[in-house]
Amino acid sequence: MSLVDGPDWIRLVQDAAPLLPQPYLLPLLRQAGWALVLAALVMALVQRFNGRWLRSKGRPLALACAVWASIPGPWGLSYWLGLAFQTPSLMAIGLALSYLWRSVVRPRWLQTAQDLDPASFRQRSLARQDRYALAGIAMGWLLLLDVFAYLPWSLYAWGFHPLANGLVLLVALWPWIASGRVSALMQAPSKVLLPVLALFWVSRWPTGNLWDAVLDPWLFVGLHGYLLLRYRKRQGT
Amino acid sequence: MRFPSRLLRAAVALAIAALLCLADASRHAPLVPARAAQVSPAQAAGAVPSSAQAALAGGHWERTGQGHIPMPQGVPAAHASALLALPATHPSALLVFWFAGDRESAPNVQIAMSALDRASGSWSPARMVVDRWEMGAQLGFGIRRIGNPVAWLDGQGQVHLFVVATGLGGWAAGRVVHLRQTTPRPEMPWAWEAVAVLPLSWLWNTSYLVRTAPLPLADGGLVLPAYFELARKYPVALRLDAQGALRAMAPMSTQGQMLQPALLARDQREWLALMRDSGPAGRIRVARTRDGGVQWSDAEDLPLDNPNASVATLTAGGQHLLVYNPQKSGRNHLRMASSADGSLWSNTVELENGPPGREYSYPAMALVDGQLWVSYTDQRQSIAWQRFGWVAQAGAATGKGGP
Repeated sequence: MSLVDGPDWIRLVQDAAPLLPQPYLLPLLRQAGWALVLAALVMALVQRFNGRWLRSKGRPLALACAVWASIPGPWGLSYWLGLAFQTPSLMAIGLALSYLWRSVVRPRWLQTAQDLDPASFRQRSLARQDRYALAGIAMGWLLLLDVFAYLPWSLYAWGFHPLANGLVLLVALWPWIASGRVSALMQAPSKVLLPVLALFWVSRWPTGNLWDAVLDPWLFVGLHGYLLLRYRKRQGT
Repeated sequence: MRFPSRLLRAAVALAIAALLCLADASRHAPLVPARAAQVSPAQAAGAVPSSAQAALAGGHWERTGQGHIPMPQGVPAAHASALLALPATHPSALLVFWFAGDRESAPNVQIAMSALDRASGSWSPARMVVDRWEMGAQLGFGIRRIGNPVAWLDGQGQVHLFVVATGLGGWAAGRVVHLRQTTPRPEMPWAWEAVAVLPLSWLWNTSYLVRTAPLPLADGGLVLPAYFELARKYPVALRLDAQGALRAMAPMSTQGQMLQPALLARDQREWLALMRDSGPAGRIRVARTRDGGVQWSDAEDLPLDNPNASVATLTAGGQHLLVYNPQKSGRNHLRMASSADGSLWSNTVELENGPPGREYSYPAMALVDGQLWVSYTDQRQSIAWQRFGWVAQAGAATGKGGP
C-alpha cells in the first residue's frame, strides 16, 4: 500500500484504501481476547503438571484469570497487556477457544476422529499442523524483517489489501485441495483459520490488517516452541 | 459435489478466493492520487509573495515580536511544540500544543495548549488538554507516557491531534494515537476523544512516532510524516483522508538512521522530506518523491550541518522555509533559512545563538494572517515564539501575485 497509484499492474493491488475496524467494540474484543488466551494458557500449563491437586485447580485458575482479564480499566489484566501487546490476534483467540472447548467443555456428542485418536489420523493431522506452523514461522520472520525495514517493500501494508484475504483463504483451503476431503477443513488449523477469516472479513478486527488477525508476535513465538517440542518428541521416539 | 482432480479443486479454490477479493475490494474506497494543497490562506490573501523568485529577490522576513508562551502553573518542563493556524473566522488565530510535566517522559507529562487571541494578540493561559489516563480509559488499555503532539485542522474546522503514546518501554515503544476535538462545552472548551491507535506495525504496533507538521492534500486529507525508531530509524509517510483515517503508508527511506521527516511540496506531486540524522554525518538528510508519494528515494544531503536535531519546514507562498540547528553538535544555535527549490538555502535569520550548553530545539512554524510564527523549545523549560512579517524591498510591488 503506497500513497497513490503506480504502474498499471501495481495499481490493481494498490488503488484501494484500507478498511479499518469500528473503534467502539475494540476494548471488548481486547478484554475477551486476553481472557480466552490467558485461560487457555493456564489450562495448558496446569495440564503439564503431574500433581493431582494442581490439576484439579486448573479450571478455577483459568476462570479466575479470565475474569481478571475481563475487568475493564486499570484493575483488569487486559488493560496492562494491551499497554504492552495491544490485542491478541483473532487466530490466537480462536486457538485458545478451540483448546478450551476440547479440554474443558468436550461434549461427547461432538467427539471427532481426533478425539478418538486413531494413530494414522493423528499422524496425518500433526504433519499438517507442522506444515502450517512452519508457514506461520516463515511469515512471522518476513514480517519481522519488514518491521525493521529490511525488505524493499512494505509487507505489513499489504495486509490491508483485499488480495491478502484471498491468499490466506487459499492457504486455509489447502487441506481440501490436497486431499479432496471436505472433512479436512474441519480439522486444525483450517477449522480455526476459516472462521478467523470470516470474522476478519466482517469486522476487520483487531486493526484492519490481516496479518494482525492471523499471526501476532506471541503466536509467532509460540509456533517456534510448538515445533521445538514436536522435534524433541520425534527425536525421543 | 465432488472434485476428483487436484487441479480442479485448486481452480475452484482460486475462484472462491478471487470472488472474496473482488467482494472485499468493492467495500474499499478508491484511492485517488495524492496532490499537495498548493495555496495557503496567507498566499490567497496576498500577504506573502506567491513565487519563489519574487520572494527571494524582493524582500525578507523581519522579526516583529518574540516571547514565551505561558506555561501551566508549577510545571517545570516543556518540549516539542506544534503550531496550528486557524481560519480567519475563528477568534483564535493560532493554537500551540506541546508536552509538559516534571521532565520529558515523566509520568505526569500531559499535552498542554495555548491559543493566540486574534483581537488582542496575546496568548491564553496554558491548559492541560490531553492526559494519558483519560486517553487510556477511552482506548481501553494503559498508556505509559505521552509525548510529541502534531496538530491538524480538518475541512469542517475540527482540530485533530496525533500524539505519541508509549507502551512497555521508552520512546522506542511509542504508538501514534489519533484524537479528535469533541463538541466544546462551557466547562470544557477543548475536549478530545481518542479515535484510534494508527495501525502501523506488526510488532505490537510499537515504535512509530510523529513529530513534524503534516502536509495538507488537495482532497482535504493530509500526509502525516512519522518514523520508526526501535534500533533502526526510518521515516514513513502516512496518508490520511479528510476525516483523519489511515489510507496508505509508504516508507521514505530504509537507510536506518533518519527520523522526524519534515515535508516540503515543491509542486503538487514532487515533495521533499528533510530529516535529522542519528548517524555520524551531522547533516540534514533528504528523501524525495516525484509522484505524490508512490516511490520515495534518498536524495543528496543538504549542505547544512545539523546535530541530530528536529527541523521544521513551511512553504510560504512561493518560498520554502526551514528552521534548524546549524551546527554539528549542540542545540544552542537556531536559524531560519529560505529557499526557492528546497535544495539551496540562503537568506538566513538567526533565531537564537546562545552559549554552549543551552538548548533551542524542536521548532515549528505556521503562517497566520500574513505573519510567520516560529515556536521552539527553550531549555526544555518553556516554549518560546518569534513572529515575522514579510518586508518587501523598496521598489518591489507588494500584493497578490508578487512582491
